[in-house]
Amino acid sequence: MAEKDRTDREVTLGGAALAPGDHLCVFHRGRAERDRLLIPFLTEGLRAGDAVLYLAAEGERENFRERLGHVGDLVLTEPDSGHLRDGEFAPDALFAMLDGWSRRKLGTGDHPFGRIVGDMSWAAPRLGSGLIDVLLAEEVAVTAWGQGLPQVILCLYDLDLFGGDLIIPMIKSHPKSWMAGTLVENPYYLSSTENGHHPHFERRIPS
Amino acid sequence: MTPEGDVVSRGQEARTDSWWRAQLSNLYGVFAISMMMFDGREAADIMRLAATSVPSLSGCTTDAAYLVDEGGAVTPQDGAEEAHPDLAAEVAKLDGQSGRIELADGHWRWCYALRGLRGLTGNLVVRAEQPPSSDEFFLLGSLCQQTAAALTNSASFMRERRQAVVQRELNDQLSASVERLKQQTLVHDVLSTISASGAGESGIAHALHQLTALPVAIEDQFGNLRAWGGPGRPDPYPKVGVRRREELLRHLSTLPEAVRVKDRLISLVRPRHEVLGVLALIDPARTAGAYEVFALEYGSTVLALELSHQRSLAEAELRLRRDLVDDLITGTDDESVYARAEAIGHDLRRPHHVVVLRWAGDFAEDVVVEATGRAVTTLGLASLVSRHSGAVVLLVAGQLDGAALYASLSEKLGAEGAIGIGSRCDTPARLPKSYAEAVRALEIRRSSQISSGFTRFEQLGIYRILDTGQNHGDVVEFVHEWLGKLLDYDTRRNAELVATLAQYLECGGSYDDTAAALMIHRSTLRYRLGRIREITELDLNDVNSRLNLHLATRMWQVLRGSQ
Repeated sequence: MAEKDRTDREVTLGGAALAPGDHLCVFHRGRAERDRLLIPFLTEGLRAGDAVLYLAAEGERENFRERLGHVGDLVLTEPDSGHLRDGEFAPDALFAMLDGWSRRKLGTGDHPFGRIVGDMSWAAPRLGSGLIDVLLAEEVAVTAWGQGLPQVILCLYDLDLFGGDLIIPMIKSHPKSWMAGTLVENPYYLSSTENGHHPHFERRIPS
Repeated sequence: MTPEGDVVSRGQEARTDSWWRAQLSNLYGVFAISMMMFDGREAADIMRLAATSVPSLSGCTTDAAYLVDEGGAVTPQDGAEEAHPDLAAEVAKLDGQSGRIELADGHWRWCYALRGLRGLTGNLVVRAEQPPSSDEFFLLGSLCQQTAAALTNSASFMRERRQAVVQRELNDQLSASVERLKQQTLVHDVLSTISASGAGESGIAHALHQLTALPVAIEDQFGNLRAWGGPGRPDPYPKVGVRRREELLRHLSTLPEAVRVKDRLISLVRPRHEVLGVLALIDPARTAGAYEVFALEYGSTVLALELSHQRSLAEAELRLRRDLVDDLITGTDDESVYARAEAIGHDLRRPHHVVVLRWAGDFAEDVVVEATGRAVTTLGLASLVSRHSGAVVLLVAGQLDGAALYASLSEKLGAEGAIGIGSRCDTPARLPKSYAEAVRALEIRRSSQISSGFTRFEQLGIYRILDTGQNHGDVVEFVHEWLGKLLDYDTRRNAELVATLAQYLECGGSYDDTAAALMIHRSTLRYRLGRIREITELDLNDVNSRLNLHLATRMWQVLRGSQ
């Protein structure tokens, strides 16, 4: 599970190559643009034998199951059955789910590679400075956690739903971002060591 | 303008690696937001991105945001209504410049004037409990510069999009015009080609059907079908009453374009003011549009030319015929009239009779001429028709059955007419004489007791000499002098003594021949002749009496109109 080297498999998003351990913040405008990126990305992984976990937006699970064609190892969840507890964000539950899934799919050798995608639309109606801080800590922690695993992680943010108050912290916390149709890297992203004011995130990182 | 004195400066000692990394990361955030602002979104969305980014880059919040359009109109953005009530006025006082805004609530405020290449595009007012640091102020300034550029770009983009919309509309209009012109050119080419080909009315009807895919009817002004194009030709062809037809044509003639009448689109064929017919598209499903209407109306124009041409030809030929007849009956060079007759398809080398006729009643001359033309056609006669001195003049080639001609004309015009027939002409030079004879025979017929009917000049016999036209009264007086008593007797007694006497004299005084001709018994004849002698007190064996009585009975026969 500690394999960090690039695999020889092709992992692409919108034509741009990704590397194992990448954690991307993907900004898109509307669901149509999202799907133009996401469907090929997930299909590519399923056809290559990757394990795929998609934390879909509310009400979209079955739609994606149909569109992805019931092939490969695909796990689809929605916010209420994953990272929301009684309508509130539950970061511990999210981490538990992510880590458990990775251990099952990648740790057993059944799948050489994993793809995790989270649609963050659920956060838009709940957004406030408190949630932004929690999300920021979560993203930083996920970046640290995912760097050691043969997988890529995409967090999808709809620019029609979110403003600069969320976008800038997310950009600051992701080493790579997809925006305006291109993949950009941020060598100055905030790593866990620069986020000591969020003391709880480190404990979520699996050992 | 910068908030000198307001911002909090940080010393070099505070700028650790971590600080630089955070500052670079913030700048990267501004860069990312800028990229998003330039992704083609509208001005309000750009301003929303800028306004919501402020707290992420500084300890400030956005107090209010205003968009300024190219005309200078200010539009407060979402949230501006919750700002201090004096804020908008204070922003306006800055007159498009950035600057500090001081209000009674004691908050620190700064208005960023968002200026681009085309001037002011908006204002973003930030607020904080304390003035921001110079680093934060730098980040906010950078954000606002990017916002102003994005707003300018958006305005240009929107302007181009509006222009593109206008251009697209113009292109659409142009394309529609070109398409319409193509269709009209096709209609023009097809119908003009058909018209020039001499295909006539049926060709026009067929071409119009090909152009519109609708059945086509061409009717004359009376509603009779002249030509049909396409499938579904009704048989028999329906025809409305005369009054309804006249009302329809009158109504159509008041309208400048084709009109729908039930399942038809109708256009009048009307060169100048005369209606020559009707062109109709049969369209029960009402599918015809502007193109079909154009084709119909152009078709009616072409048809009007065609029918006018046909009419002009007919009128020219009629004129030529009339001129020729006029020249022939007044006398002209033989050779030239042969050539002229051949030009209109008439063989003048055959023997001819000149016929002159007049018909009583309210008939216009044209009607009598037309009826005469149809009558001679019906009888299979080769003829030339004209009008002269108020009468219809007919030059008939070959044998002429006067009774048949009179019967045919009576059928068309009624029985109140007279026909005079001149003697046979073997050369055109004799036609003037034959014409004079025909006129003479007509006048004698019209002045006789039975004025309707026909009279051949040859049948007048000695009467031709005795009644020259100028002495008609003398002739009548002569007849009365010799036959007056017998005529009175016949009238009183409803007898036939004059007819008996005439037949007796025609038979040279033979009792047997006369009785046989009159189909009476000899004794009856003898009785009648006895009564004649008593009434006239004349000796029928006296040569002078016998000659005068014979002449008188001949004149009586002519004057009576019997043949």
